[in-house]
Amino acid sequence: MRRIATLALACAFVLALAGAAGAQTGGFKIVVNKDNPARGLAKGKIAFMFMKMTTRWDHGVAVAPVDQAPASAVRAAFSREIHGRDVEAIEAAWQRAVFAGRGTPPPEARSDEDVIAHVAGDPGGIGYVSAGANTDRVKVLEVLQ
Amino acid sequence: MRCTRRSATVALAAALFGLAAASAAAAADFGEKVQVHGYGNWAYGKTDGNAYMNGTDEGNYDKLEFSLAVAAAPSPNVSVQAQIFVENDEEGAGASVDYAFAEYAFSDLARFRIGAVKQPFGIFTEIFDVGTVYPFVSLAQGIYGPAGFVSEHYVGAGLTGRTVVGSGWNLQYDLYGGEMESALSTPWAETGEDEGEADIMDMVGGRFVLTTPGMAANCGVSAYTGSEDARSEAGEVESHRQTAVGAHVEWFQGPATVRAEYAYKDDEVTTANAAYAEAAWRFTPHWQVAARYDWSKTDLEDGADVDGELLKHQDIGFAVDYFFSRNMVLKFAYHRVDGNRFTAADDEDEGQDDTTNLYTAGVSFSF
Repeated sequence: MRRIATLALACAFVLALAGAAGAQTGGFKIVVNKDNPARGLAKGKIAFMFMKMTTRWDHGVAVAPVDQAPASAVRAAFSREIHGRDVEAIEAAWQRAVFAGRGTPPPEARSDEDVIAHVAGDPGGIGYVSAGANTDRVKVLEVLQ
Repeated sequence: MRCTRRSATVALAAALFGLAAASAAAAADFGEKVQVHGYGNWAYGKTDGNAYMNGTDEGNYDKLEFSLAVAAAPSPNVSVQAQIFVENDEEGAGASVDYAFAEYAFSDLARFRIGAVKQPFGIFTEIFDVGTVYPFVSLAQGIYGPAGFVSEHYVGAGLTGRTVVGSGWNLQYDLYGGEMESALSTPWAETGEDEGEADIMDMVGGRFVLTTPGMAANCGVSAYTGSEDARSEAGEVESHRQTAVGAHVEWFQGPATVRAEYAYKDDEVTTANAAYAEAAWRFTPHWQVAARYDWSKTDLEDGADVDGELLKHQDIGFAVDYFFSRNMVLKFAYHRVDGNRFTAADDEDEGQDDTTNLYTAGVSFSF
Protein backbone atom coordinates (compact mmCIF):
# COMPACT_ATOMS: atom_id res chain seq x y z
CA MET A 1 0.00 0.00 0.00
CA ARG A 2 2.86 2.35 0.89
CA ARG A 3 4.52 1.56 -2.45
CA ILE A 4 1.35 2.50 -4.35
CA ALA A 5 1.09 5.75 -2.36
CA THR A 6 4.73 6.54 -3.16
CA LEU A 7 4.17 5.84 -6.85
CA ALA A 8 1.01 7.98 -6.80
CA LEU A 9 2.98 10.89 -5.32
CA ALA A 10 5.72 10.45 -7.92
CA CYS A 11 3.04 10.32 -10.60
CA ALA A 12 1.45 13.58 -9.42
CA PHE A 13 4.85 15.30 -9.34
CA VAL A 14 5.81 14.13 -12.82
CA LEU A 15 2.44 15.07 -14.32
CA ALA A 16 2.54 18.52 -12.74
CA LEU A 17 6.05 19.06 -14.05
CA ALA A 18 5.15 17.91 -17.55
CA GLY A 19 1.84 19.78 -17.63
CA ALA A 20 3.61 23.05 -16.93
CA ALA A 21 5.43 22.92 -20.27
CA GLY A 22 4.20 25.35 -22.96
CA ALA A 23 4.97 26.29 -26.58
CA GLN A 24 4.76 29.24 -28.97
CA THR A 25 3.31 29.14 -32.48
CA GLY A 26 5.16 30.25 -35.62
CA GLY A 27 6.83 29.16 -38.87
CA PHE A 28 3.84 27.26 -40.24
CA LYS A 29 0.11 27.55 -40.93
CA ILE A 30 -2.61 25.05 -40.01
CA VAL A 31 -4.86 24.43 -43.00
CA VAL A 32 -8.25 22.72 -43.31
CA ASN A 33 -10.78 22.15 -46.06
CA LYS A 34 -12.67 25.27 -47.15
CA ASP A 35 -16.00 23.64 -46.20
CA ASN A 36 -14.85 23.19 -42.60
CA PRO A 37 -16.78 25.66 -40.37
CA ALA A 38 -14.00 25.83 -37.76
CA ARG A 39 -12.15 29.15 -37.46
CA GLY A 40 -9.61 28.30 -34.82
CA LEU A 41 -8.36 25.35 -32.81
CA ALA A 42 -6.50 24.99 -29.54
CA LYS A 43 -2.99 23.55 -29.76
CA GLY A 44 -4.00 20.58 -27.66
CA LYS A 45 -6.87 19.73 -29.95
CA ILE A 46 -4.66 19.99 -33.02
CA ALA A 47 -2.15 17.67 -31.36
CA PHE A 48 -4.89 15.16 -30.56
CA MET A 49 -6.09 15.24 -34.17
CA PHE A 50 -2.60 14.50 -35.49
CA MET A 51 -2.18 11.72 -32.92
CA LYS A 52 -5.64 10.41 -33.94
CA MET A 53 -6.87 10.79 -30.38
CA THR A 54 -9.66 13.03 -31.63
CA THR A 55 -11.16 11.51 -34.74
CA ARG A 56 -14.21 13.73 -35.44
CA TRP A 57 -14.66 17.43 -36.03
CA ASP A 58 -17.31 19.17 -33.96
CA HIS A 59 -19.58 19.12 -37.03
CA GLY A 60 -19.30 15.31 -37.26
CA VAL A 61 -16.92 14.85 -40.19
CA ALA A 62 -14.04 12.38 -39.71
CA VAL A 63 -10.68 14.07 -39.13
CA ALA A 64 -8.14 13.27 -41.85
CA PRO A 65 -4.72 14.57 -40.78
CA VAL A 66 -1.72 14.64 -43.10
CA ASP A 67 1.84 14.99 -41.81
CA GLN A 68 4.97 16.14 -43.60
CA ALA A 69 8.27 14.28 -44.05
CA PRO A 70 10.11 13.71 -40.73
CA ALA A 71 13.23 15.52 -41.96
CA SER A 72 11.39 18.65 -43.12
CA ALA A 73 11.83 21.96 -41.31
CA VAL A 74 8.09 22.59 -41.22
CA ARG A 75 7.48 19.22 -39.51
CA ALA A 76 10.11 20.07 -36.91
CA ALA A 77 8.50 23.45 -36.20
CA PHE A 78 5.00 21.97 -36.06
CA SER A 79 6.05 19.14 -33.77
CA ARG A 80 7.91 21.40 -31.38
CA GLU A 81 5.16 24.01 -31.20
CA ILE A 82 2.00 21.91 -31.34
CA HIS A 83 3.08 18.67 -29.67
CA GLY A 84 5.71 20.31 -27.49
CA ARG A 85 8.12 17.50 -28.42
CA ASP A 86 10.57 16.83 -31.22
CA VAL A 87 9.73 14.78 -34.30
CA GLU A 88 11.62 11.74 -33.08
CA ALA A 89 9.65 11.63 -29.83
CA ILE A 90 6.41 11.72 -31.78
CA GLU A 91 7.64 8.98 -34.10
CA ALA A 92 8.55 6.91 -31.05
CA ALA A 93 5.03 7.41 -29.70
CA TRP A 94 3.62 6.21 -33.03
CA GLN A 95 5.92 3.18 -32.95
CA ARG A 96 4.38 2.21 -29.65
CA ALA A 97 0.85 2.79 -30.92
CA VAL A 98 1.41 0.81 -34.10
CA PHE A 99 2.82 -2.27 -32.39
CA ALA A 100 0.26 -2.08 -29.59
CA GLY A 101 -2.45 -2.32 -32.23
CA ARG A 102 -3.72 1.14 -31.33
CA GLY A 103 -3.57 2.90 -34.65
CA THR A 104 -1.31 3.96 -37.46
CA PRO A 105 0.26 7.37 -38.10
CA PRO A 106 -1.17 9.87 -40.60
CA PRO A 107 0.11 9.69 -44.16
CA GLU A 108 3.15 11.83 -44.90
CA ALA A 109 3.02 14.36 -47.71
CA ARG A 110 6.17 15.20 -49.61
CA SER A 111 5.62 18.95 -49.85
CA ASP A 112 3.35 21.85 -48.95
CA GLU A 113 1.62 21.39 -52.31
CA ASP A 114 0.82 17.76 -51.48
CA VAL A 115 -0.65 18.83 -48.14
CA ILE A 116 -2.80 21.48 -49.84
CA ALA A 117 -4.02 18.91 -52.37
CA HIS A 118 -4.92 16.41 -49.62
CA VAL A 119 -6.74 18.97 -47.50
CA ALA A 120 -8.56 20.55 -50.45
CA GLY A 121 -9.78 17.12 -51.53
CA ASP A 122 -11.01 15.85 -48.15
CA PRO A 123 -13.78 17.60 -46.15
CA GLY A 124 -12.13 16.44 -42.90
CA GLY A 125 -8.58 17.17 -44.01
CA ILE A 126 -6.15 19.03 -41.75
CA GLY A 127 -2.47 19.70 -42.37
CA TYR A 128 0.25 22.26 -41.89
CA VAL A 129 2.34 24.11 -44.43
CA SER A 130 5.23 26.56 -44.41
CA ALA A 131 4.34 30.13 -43.46
CA GLY A 132 4.96 31.30 -47.03
CA ALA A 133 2.95 28.59 -48.82
CA ASN A 134 0.08 29.51 -51.16
CA THR A 135 -3.12 28.59 -49.31
CA ASP A 136 -5.75 29.87 -51.75
CA ARG A 137 -7.38 26.42 -52.12
CA VAL A 138 -7.77 25.81 -48.38
CA LYS A 139 -8.69 27.62 -45.18
CA VAL A 140 -6.05 28.75 -42.67
CA LEU A 141 -7.02 28.13 -39.04
CA GLU A 142 -6.09 30.33 -36.15
CA VAL A 143 -4.10 28.47 -33.52
CA LEU A 144 -5.51 29.17 -30.07
CA GLN A 145 -3.39 28.87 -26.93
CA MET B 1 23.95 -30.07 -34.30
CA ARG B 2 24.34 -27.18 -31.89
CA CYS B 3 27.07 -25.75 -34.06
CA THR B 4 24.83 -25.98 -37.11
CA ARG B 5 21.96 -24.23 -35.41
CA ARG B 6 24.28 -21.54 -34.09
CA SER B 7 25.62 -20.95 -37.59
CA ALA B 8 22.09 -20.74 -38.93
CA THR B 9 21.14 -18.30 -36.19
CA VAL B 10 24.10 -16.06 -36.88
CA ALA B 11 23.39 -16.18 -40.62
CA LEU B 12 19.75 -15.33 -40.08
CA ALA B 13 20.68 -12.56 -37.67
CA ALA B 14 23.10 -11.15 -40.22
CA ALA B 15 20.42 -11.28 -42.90
CA LEU B 16 17.94 -9.47 -40.65
CA PHE B 17 20.58 -6.93 -39.69
CA GLY B 18 21.27 -6.33 -43.38
CA LEU B 19 17.58 -6.08 -44.13
CA ALA B 20 17.16 -3.49 -41.42
CA ALA B 21 20.14 -1.46 -42.57
CA ALA B 22 19.26 -1.62 -46.24
CA SER B 23 15.57 -0.95 -46.00
CA ALA B 24 15.95 2.34 -44.09
CA ALA B 25 13.04 0.91 -42.19
CA ALA B 26 10.10 2.26 -44.14
CA ALA B 27 6.70 0.76 -43.47
CA ALA B 28 4.67 -0.46 -46.41
CA ASP B 29 1.56 1.65 -46.91
CA PHE B 30 -1.01 0.39 -49.40
CA GLY B 31 -3.00 3.57 -49.68
CA GLU B 32 -4.41 4.29 -46.23
CA LYS B 33 -6.42 1.09 -46.05
CA VAL B 34 -3.65 -1.36 -45.17
CA GLN B 35 -0.36 -0.79 -43.38
CA VAL B 36 2.39 -3.32 -42.74
CA HIS B 37 4.95 -2.84 -40.00
CA GLY B 38 7.53 -5.15 -38.47
CA TYR B 39 10.29 -5.44 -35.95
CA GLY B 40 13.13 -7.76 -35.08
CA ASN B 41 15.71 -8.39 -32.39
CA TRP B 42 18.88 -10.41 -32.19
CA ALA B 43 21.08 -10.60 -29.11
CA TYR B 44 24.06 -12.45 -27.71
CA GLY B 45 24.27 -13.10 -23.99
CA LYS B 46 26.99 -14.48 -21.73
CA THR B 47 26.95 -15.00 -17.99
CA ASP B 48 29.49 -16.09 -15.41
CA GLY B 49 27.53 -19.21 -14.44
CA ASN B 50 23.74 -19.28 -14.27
CA ALA B 51 21.47 -18.96 -17.28
CA TYR B 52 19.57 -15.64 -17.16
CA MET B 53 17.42 -13.96 -19.81
CA ASN B 54 19.25 -14.60 -23.09
CA GLY B 55 22.59 -15.38 -21.42
CA THR B 56 24.29 -18.68 -20.66
CA ASP B 57 27.66 -19.60 -19.22
CA GLU B 58 29.11 -20.60 -22.57
CA GLY B 59 27.47 -17.72 -24.46
CA ASN B 60 24.18 -17.79 -26.32
CA TYR B 61 23.63 -16.50 -29.85
CA ASP B 62 20.13 -17.90 -30.22
CA LYS B 63 17.84 -15.03 -29.18
CA LEU B 64 16.33 -14.08 -32.50
CA GLU B 65 12.88 -12.61 -33.03
CA PHE B 66 10.97 -11.19 -35.94
CA SER B 67 7.41 -9.94 -36.12
CA LEU B 68 5.14 -8.63 -38.82
CA ALA B 69 2.07 -6.51 -38.02
CA VAL B 70 -0.74 -5.79 -40.46
CA ALA B 71 -3.48 -3.22 -39.88
CA ALA B 72 -6.41 -2.78 -42.24
CA ALA B 73 -9.35 -0.39 -42.17
CA PRO B 74 -11.97 -1.91 -44.49
CA SER B 75 -14.51 0.76 -43.51
CA PRO B 76 -14.37 3.99 -41.48
CA ASN B 77 -15.49 2.42 -38.20
CA VAL B 78 -13.95 -1.03 -38.59
CA SER B 79 -10.31 -1.99 -38.28
CA VAL B 80 -8.63 -5.38 -38.26
CA GLN B 81 -5.16 -5.93 -36.85
CA ALA B 82 -2.89 -8.96 -36.60
CA GLN B 83 0.72 -9.64 -35.71
CA ILE B 84 2.73 -12.80 -36.34
CA PHE B 85 5.77 -13.44 -34.16
CA VAL B 86 8.63 -15.77 -35.09
CA GLU B 87 11.42 -16.54 -32.66
CA ASN B 88 14.44 -18.73 -32.31
CA ASP B 89 15.97 -19.41 -28.91
CA GLU B 90 17.91 -22.13 -27.15
CA GLU B 91 14.75 -24.28 -27.22
CA GLY B 92 14.45 -24.05 -31.01
CA ALA B 93 12.32 -22.05 -33.47
CA GLY B 94 8.61 -21.31 -33.27
CA ALA B 95 5.88 -19.01 -34.50
CA SER B 96 2.88 -17.58 -32.71
CA VAL B 97 0.13 -15.02 -33.08
CA ASP B 98 0.79 -11.99 -30.90
CA TYR B 99 -2.66 -10.61 -31.56
CA ALA B 100 -5.45 -10.83 -34.12
CA PHE B 101 -8.57 -8.85 -33.47
CA ALA B 102 -11.29 -6.73 -35.00
CA GLU B 103 -12.33 -3.36 -33.65
CA TYR B 104 -15.52 -1.41 -34.14
CA ALA B 105 -15.39 2.26 -33.17
CA PHE B 106 -18.68 3.64 -31.89
CA SER B 107 -16.84 6.86 -31.06
CA ASP B 108 -13.49 7.98 -29.61
CA LEU B 109 -14.93 7.09 -26.22
CA ALA B 110 -15.99 3.55 -27.06
CA ARG B 111 -14.24 1.04 -29.28
CA PHE B 112 -15.27 -2.59 -29.09
CA ARG B 113 -12.50 -5.17 -29.60
CA ILE B 114 -12.88 -8.89 -30.05
CA GLY B 115 -10.38 -11.67 -30.75
CA ALA B 116 -6.87 -12.18 -29.42
CA VAL B 117 -6.09 -8.70 -28.12
CA LYS B 118 -2.86 -7.42 -26.57
CA GLN B 119 -3.34 -7.37 -22.81
CA PRO B 120 -3.43 -3.81 -21.50
CA PHE B 121 -1.45 -4.00 -18.24
CA GLY B 122 1.30 -1.58 -17.27
CA ILE B 123 3.55 0.09 -19.83
CA PHE B 124 4.96 -2.66 -22.02
CA THR B 125 2.53 -5.58 -22.37
CA GLU B 126 1.30 -4.27 -25.70
CA ILE B 127 4.81 -3.74 -27.10
CA PHE B 128 6.57 -6.61 -25.40
CA ASP B 129 9.32 -7.33 -27.91
CA VAL B 130 9.63 -4.04 -29.80
CA GLY B 131 13.26 -3.43 -28.92
CA THR B 132 13.47 0.02 -30.49
CA VAL B 133 11.17 1.53 -27.83
CA TYR B 134 13.09 0.51 -24.71
CA PRO B 135 16.77 0.84 -23.81
CA PHE B 136 17.69 -2.66 -22.61
CA VAL B 137 17.85 -5.89 -24.58
CA SER B 138 15.05 -7.30 -22.40
CA LEU B 139 12.34 -5.81 -20.23
CA ALA B 140 12.51 -5.89 -16.42
CA GLN B 141 12.04 -9.52 -15.39
CA GLY B 142 10.20 -8.84 -12.13
CA ILE B 143 7.04 -7.84 -14.00
CA TYR B 144 7.64 -8.82 -17.64
CA GLY B 145 9.67 -11.99 -17.11
CA PRO B 146 8.18 -15.43 -16.37
CA ALA B 147 6.56 -14.14 -13.19
CA GLY B 148 2.95 -14.84 -14.13
CA PHE B 149 1.95 -11.17 -14.08
CA VAL B 150 1.21 -10.46 -17.73
CA SER B 151 0.39 -12.09 -21.01
CA GLU B 152 1.10 -11.38 -24.67
CA HIS B 153 -2.65 -11.22 -25.24
CA TYR B 154 -6.02 -12.18 -23.88
CA VAL B 155 -8.61 -14.04 -25.91
CA GLY B 156 -12.00 -12.44 -25.46
CA ALA B 157 -13.62 -9.06 -25.82
CA GLY B 158 -12.90 -5.61 -24.54
CA LEU B 159 -13.86 -1.99 -24.65
CA THR B 160 -11.34 0.80 -25.03
CA GLY B 161 -11.58 4.53 -25.54
CA ARG B 162 -10.22 7.89 -24.65
CA THR B 163 -11.51 11.28 -23.71
CA VAL B 164 -10.05 14.73 -23.24
CA VAL B 165 -9.85 15.85 -19.64
CA GLY B 166 -9.35 19.53 -18.88
CA SER B 167 -7.12 21.47 -21.26
CA GLY B 168 -5.44 18.83 -23.33
CA TRP B 169 -5.08 15.99 -20.87
CA ASN B 170 -6.08 12.59 -22.17
CA LEU B 171 -7.65 9.70 -20.28
CA GLN B 172 -7.51 6.29 -21.92
CA TYR B 173 -9.29 3.28 -20.52
CA ASP B 174 -9.47 -0.45 -21.25
CA LEU B 175 -11.96 -2.94 -19.87
CA TYR B 176 -11.70 -6.54 -20.95
CA GLY B 177 -12.63 -10.10 -20.21
CA GLY B 178 -11.74 -13.58 -21.41
CA GLU B 179 -8.84 -15.97 -21.02
CA MET B 180 -5.08 -15.52 -21.04
CA GLU B 181 -1.88 -17.49 -20.69
CA SER B 182 0.94 -16.08 -18.65
CA ALA B 183 4.54 -17.33 -18.66
CA LEU B 184 5.38 -18.57 -15.18
CA SER B 185 8.48 -20.18 -13.75
CA THR B 186 8.27 -21.83 -10.32
CA PRO B 187 11.86 -22.79 -9.48
CA TRP B 188 10.82 -23.75 -5.93
CA ALA B 189 8.42 -26.46 -7.18
CA GLU B 190 9.36 -30.07 -6.47
CA THR B 191 7.83 -31.45 -9.65
CA GLY B 192 10.83 -30.59 -11.76
CA GLU B 193 8.56 -28.48 -13.96
CA ASP B 194 10.00 -25.06 -13.24
CA GLU B 195 9.04 -23.48 -16.57
CA GLY B 196 5.42 -23.33 -17.62
CA GLU B 197 2.36 -21.23 -18.17
CA ALA B 198 -0.52 -20.23 -15.98
CA ASP B 199 -3.94 -20.31 -17.65
CA ILE B 200 -6.15 -17.57 -16.28
CA MET B 201 -9.79 -18.29 -17.12
CA ASP B 202 -12.92 -16.16 -16.75
CA MET B 203 -10.74 -13.13 -16.33
CA VAL B 204 -11.86 -9.52 -16.13
CA GLY B 205 -9.48 -6.61 -16.08
CA GLY B 206 -8.96 -2.97 -16.80
CA ARG B 207 -6.41 -0.21 -17.20
CA PHE B 208 -6.68 3.57 -16.93
CA VAL B 209 -3.92 5.85 -18.24
CA LEU B 210 -3.80 9.63 -17.85
CA THR B 211 -1.54 11.47 -20.31
CA THR B 212 -0.40 15.10 -20.08
CA PRO B 213 -0.67 17.58 -22.95
CA GLY B 214 2.00 16.86 -25.54
CA MET B 215 2.31 13.32 -24.15
CA ALA B 216 5.20 14.46 -21.96
CA ALA B 217 4.16 12.12 -19.18
CA ASN B 218 1.62 9.51 -18.32
CA CYS B 219 0.62 7.42 -15.39
CA GLY B 220 -1.76 4.56 -15.05
CA VAL B 221 -3.23 1.79 -12.97
CA SER B 222 -4.00 -1.76 -14.13
CA ALA B 223 -5.72 -4.75 -12.58
CA TYR B 224 -7.23 -8.11 -13.45
CA THR B 225 -8.65 -11.10 -11.67
CA GLY B 226 -9.44 -14.59 -12.89
CA SER B 227 -9.39 -18.26 -12.10
CA GLU B 228 -6.10 -20.09 -12.52
CA ASP B 229 -6.26 -23.83 -13.09
CA ALA B 230 -3.22 -25.64 -11.71
CA ARG B 231 -2.50 -29.36 -11.67
CA SER B 232 -1.30 -30.69 -8.32
CA GLU B 233 1.43 -33.30 -7.90
CA ALA B 234 -1.31 -35.87 -7.39
CA GLY B 235 -2.73 -34.96 -10.79
CA GLU B 236 -5.78 -33.14 -9.49
CA VAL B 237 -6.75 -29.86 -11.06
CA GLU B 238 -7.10 -27.14 -8.50
CA SER B 239 -8.56 -23.78 -9.19
CA HIS B 240 -7.10 -20.66 -7.61
CA ARG B 241 -8.15 -17.06 -7.94
CA GLN B 242 -5.36 -14.91 -9.31
CA THR B 243 -5.55 -11.18 -8.84
CA ALA B 244 -2.95 -8.68 -9.98
CA VAL B 245 -2.75 -4.92 -9.67
CA GLY B 246 -0.16 -2.51 -10.99
CA ALA B 247 0.71 1.15 -11.27
CA HIS B 248 3.09 2.94 -13.60
CA VAL B 249 4.47 6.36 -14.43
CA GLU B 250 6.52 7.58 -17.42
CA TRP B 251 8.12 10.94 -18.04
CA PHE B 252 9.66 12.19 -21.28
CA GLN B 253 11.61 15.42 -21.23
CA GLY B 254 13.88 16.22 -24.17
CA PRO B 255 16.57 13.53 -24.30
CA ALA B 256 15.58 12.02 -20.94
CA THR B 257 13.10 9.27 -20.20
CA VAL B 258 12.20 8.06 -16.73
CA ARG B 259 9.74 5.30 -15.96
CA ALA B 260 8.75 3.18 -12.99
CA GLU B 261 6.29 0.39 -12.39
CA TYR B 262 5.01 -1.59 -9.45
CA ALA B 263 2.88 -4.74 -9.52
CA TYR B 264 1.40 -7.07 -6.95
CA LYS B 265 -0.10 -10.53 -7.50
CA ASP B 266 -1.88 -13.04 -5.29
CA ASP B 267 -2.88 -16.46 -6.60
CA GLU B 268 -3.77 -18.07 -3.25
CA VAL B 269 -0.58 -20.15 -3.46
CA THR B 270 1.97 -17.37 -3.77
CA THR B 271 2.06 -13.62 -3.48
CA ALA B 272 4.51 -11.59 -5.51
CA ASN B 273 5.64 -7.97 -5.39
CA ALA B 274 7.69 -6.52 -8.22
CA ALA B 275 8.93 -3.07 -9.15
CA TYR B 276 11.49 -1.38 -11.33
CA ALA B 277 12.73 2.10 -12.09
CA GLU B 278 14.54 2.96 -15.31
CA ALA B 279 16.16 6.13 -16.58
CA ALA B 280 17.60 6.76 -20.04
CA TRP B 281 19.43 9.77 -21.41
CA ARG B 282 20.00 10.32 -25.14
CA PHE B 283 23.07 12.55 -24.90
CA THR B 284 23.66 12.80 -28.66
CA PRO B 285 21.35 12.00 -31.60
CA HIS B 286 22.97 8.55 -31.72
CA TRP B 287 24.09 7.61 -28.21
CA GLN B 288 21.96 6.77 -25.21
CA VAL B 289 22.85 5.50 -21.76
CA ALA B 290 20.41 3.87 -19.35
CA ALA B 291 20.25 2.39 -15.90
CA ARG B 292 17.61 0.18 -14.32
CA TYR B 293 16.87 -1.23 -10.90
CA ASP B 294 14.56 -4.27 -11.07
CA TRP B 295 13.31 -6.05 -7.96
CA SER B 296 10.82 -8.76 -7.08
CA LYS B 297 9.97 -10.95 -4.12
CA THR B 298 7.74 -14.01 -4.01
CA ASP B 299 6.20 -15.44 -0.85
CA LEU B 300 4.73 -18.93 -0.57
CA GLU B 301 1.43 -18.88 1.28
CA ASP B 302 1.92 -22.36 2.78
CA GLY B 303 5.26 -21.28 4.22
CA ALA B 304 7.06 -24.20 2.59
CA ASP B 305 10.73 -24.50 3.44
CA VAL B 306 12.55 -23.63 0.22
CA ASP B 307 15.81 -21.94 -0.59
CA GLY B 308 15.11 -18.24 -0.12
CA GLU B 309 17.30 -17.34 -3.09
CA LEU B 310 14.70 -18.98 -5.38
CA LEU B 311 12.10 -16.44 -4.26
CA LYS B 312 13.99 -13.18 -4.65
CA HIS B 313 15.33 -11.18 -7.53
CA GLN B 314 17.34 -7.99 -7.79
CA ASP B 315 18.85 -6.85 -11.08
CA ILE B 316 20.95 -3.71 -11.44
CA GLY B 317 21.52 -3.04 -15.11
CA PHE B 318 23.39 -0.51 -17.25
CA ALA B 319 22.99 -0.10 -20.99
CA VAL B 320 24.66 1.82 -23.79
CA ASP B 321 22.71 2.14 -27.05
CA TYR B 322 23.74 3.41 -30.46
CA PHE B 323 20.83 4.55 -32.65
CA PHE B 324 21.50 4.44 -36.37
CA SER B 325 17.99 5.92 -36.56
CA ARG B 326 14.76 5.66 -34.57
CA ASN B 327 14.25 2.38 -36.42
CA MET B 328 17.53 0.63 -35.72
CA VAL B 329 19.57 0.45 -32.54
CA LEU B 330 22.60 -1.44 -31.27
CA LYS B 331 22.44 -2.30 -27.56
CA PHE B 332 25.09 -3.26 -25.04
CA ALA B 333 24.10 -4.05 -21.46
CA TYR B 334 25.47 -5.40 -18.21
CA HIS B 335 23.31 -6.87 -15.44
CA ARG B 336 24.28 -7.78 -11.90
CA VAL B 337 21.65 -10.14 -10.51
CA ASP B 338 21.17 -11.25 -6.92
CA GLY B 339 18.78 -14.12 -6.24
CA ASN B 340 17.62 -17.02 -8.38
CA ARG B 341 13.94 -16.25 -9.01
CA PHE B 342 14.57 -15.89 -12.75
CA THR B 343 17.92 -17.61 -13.17
CA ALA B 344 18.55 -21.29 -13.84
CA ALA B 345 21.46 -23.66 -13.48
CA ASP B 346 23.35 -23.82 -16.75
CA ASP B 347 24.22 -27.42 -15.98
CA GLU B 348 21.36 -29.36 -14.39
CA ASP B 349 23.83 -31.45 -12.37
CA GLU B 350 25.22 -28.38 -10.66
CA GLY B 351 23.62 -25.89 -8.34
CA GLN B 352 23.25 -22.16 -8.93
CA ASP B 353 25.35 -19.31 -7.71
CA ASP B 354 23.44 -16.69 -5.71
CA THR B 355 24.69 -13.94 -8.01
CA THR B 356 24.81 -13.72 -11.79
CA ASN B 357 26.66 -11.33 -14.08
CA LEU B 358 25.17 -11.01 -17.56
CA TYR B 359 26.82 -9.29 -20.53
CA THR B 360 24.60 -8.90 -23.54
CA ALA B 361 24.73 -7.16 -26.90
CA GLY B 362 22.26 -7.07 -29.73
CA VAL B 363 20.40 -5.17 -32.40
CA SER B 364 16.76 -4.16 -32.66
CA PHE B 365 14.96 -2.71 -35.65
CA SER B 366 11.44 -1.76 -36.59
CA PHE B 367 9.70 -0.36 -39.63
